[in-house]
Amino acid sequence: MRRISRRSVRESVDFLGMGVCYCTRSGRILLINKQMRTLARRMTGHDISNALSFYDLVRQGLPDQEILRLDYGHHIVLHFPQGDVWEFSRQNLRLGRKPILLLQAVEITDEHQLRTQLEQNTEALQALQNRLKQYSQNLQEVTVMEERLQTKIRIHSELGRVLLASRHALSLNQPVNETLKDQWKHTLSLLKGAPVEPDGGAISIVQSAAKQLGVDLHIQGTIPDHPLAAEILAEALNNAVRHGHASAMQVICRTEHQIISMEITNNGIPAADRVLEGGGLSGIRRRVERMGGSLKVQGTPFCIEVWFPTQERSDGYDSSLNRRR
Amino acid sequence: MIRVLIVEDDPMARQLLELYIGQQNDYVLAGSLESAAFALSWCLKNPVDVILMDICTALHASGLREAEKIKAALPAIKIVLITSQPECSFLSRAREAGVDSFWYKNPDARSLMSVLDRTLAGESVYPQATPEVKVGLVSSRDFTPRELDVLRELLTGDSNAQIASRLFMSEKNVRNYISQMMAKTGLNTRTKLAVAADRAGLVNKDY
Repeated sequence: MRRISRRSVRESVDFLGMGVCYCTRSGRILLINKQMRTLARRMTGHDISNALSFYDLVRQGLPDQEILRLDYGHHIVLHFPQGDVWEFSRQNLRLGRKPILLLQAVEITDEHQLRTQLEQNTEALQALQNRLKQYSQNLQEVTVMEERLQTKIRIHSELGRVLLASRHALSLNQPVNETLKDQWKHTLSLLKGAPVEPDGGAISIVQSAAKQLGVDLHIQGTIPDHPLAAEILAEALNNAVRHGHASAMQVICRTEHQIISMEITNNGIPAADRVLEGGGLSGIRRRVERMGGSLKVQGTPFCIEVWFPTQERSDGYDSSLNRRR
Repeated sequence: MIRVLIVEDDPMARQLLELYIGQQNDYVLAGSLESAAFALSWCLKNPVDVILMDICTALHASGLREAEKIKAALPAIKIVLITSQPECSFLSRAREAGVDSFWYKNPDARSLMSVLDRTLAGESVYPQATPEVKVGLVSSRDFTPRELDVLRELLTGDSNAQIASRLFMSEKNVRNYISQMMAKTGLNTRTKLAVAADRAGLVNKDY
């Protein structure tokens, strides 16, 4: 077996990509490889005479301003003007009984680039979060402003109504009656900032119509204020009155996973087994199906079963109820 | 006593109409609804002589379409349609549906009561023309009926091909009509044209 010579050890250490330097505790160099020599020359302009003085220089800062120490906490990381990044470290070892030191330099250019990119991404994310936060604050402000505007419109409307009524009464030379006085009182209370009753929404319109049509409307569950839900109820109510001569209508409504489902029955005359869908029901069926839902009508006992998603499909039904009149 | 049903979703307008009716000696308020969707059902259950009905009502219900159904089921009931929308097709569609009279909303009670009296006396009272509105640089009266048909479809946001197939005309014709309207109004995109027409209430496909 051939013996490994000092020279072959040196040669193999020179092949390493990292910089290596073994020295005594006083800094006398025992073994230094090519990469570490090159690094030292790039940093100081000459070869290392004492390894510990060189390491102190690395640790404390270099006269060459172009070599930057990067902020990696207690790790010593240097950025060279050529763009490469090296991490330096020191280790205590023992050679037999003798304590020695190992100085190492590892190139971490790729890792540093990844870290920089991550930091940039984090910064961008932070900026996005800040914008989102700002947006949500603005949204709150806009909502408050919209509410105020609605209140103003309401007061304007109320005032206009009373003014018109008063003008009408005056043009007929009638004495101001109690109703008009109450209306003025109500309007003035609005102007003084009394709370304004919110509009009941589309479902309340159906409820009030049911009352006027002499139908007891029982609702189990909560019907979301969705325009299609209200129009289905309206159609079912018309059906109950016109064909079933019903005096009561029951609605069971559930909303789960953004799907509204309703089961509508009435106490009227049952329809024939084959229910012929008139213009109203078939129109509703088309709209429900266009939204991706389904509608089933049963004749005896009369029952409408319907479900549809709360969100419109992009090509679906236009839900805007609040159009300009 | 003449029994009146009011169908109007705007609370201010509805209360005002109720007030007008309430102050007449020969009229009585029989009912008041917010949506035209229930007008026929209500008439089937309650005696009524005349209906004062808005065209654009709650629950997306058209007073025009409901009037047509009522006239088919209960032809003896007189119907006076009311609106503040200058959509030019409303007048002709109301005539076709057999609606007795038509009144553009205004705060003058006497003009409404005169329309009601004359309608009950068997007359059909229609305004001579739709109120004039401005769209861009021109008046609503500067549009031809065919241009208005294209404009009404333009509001749906559909393509020229889809509009052409619905109006039974060529795609090139649709494009020409749109360019013609853009040129006369001074509105340089089809979206601006559609928005201006919608805001003015010149065309309305929903009711």
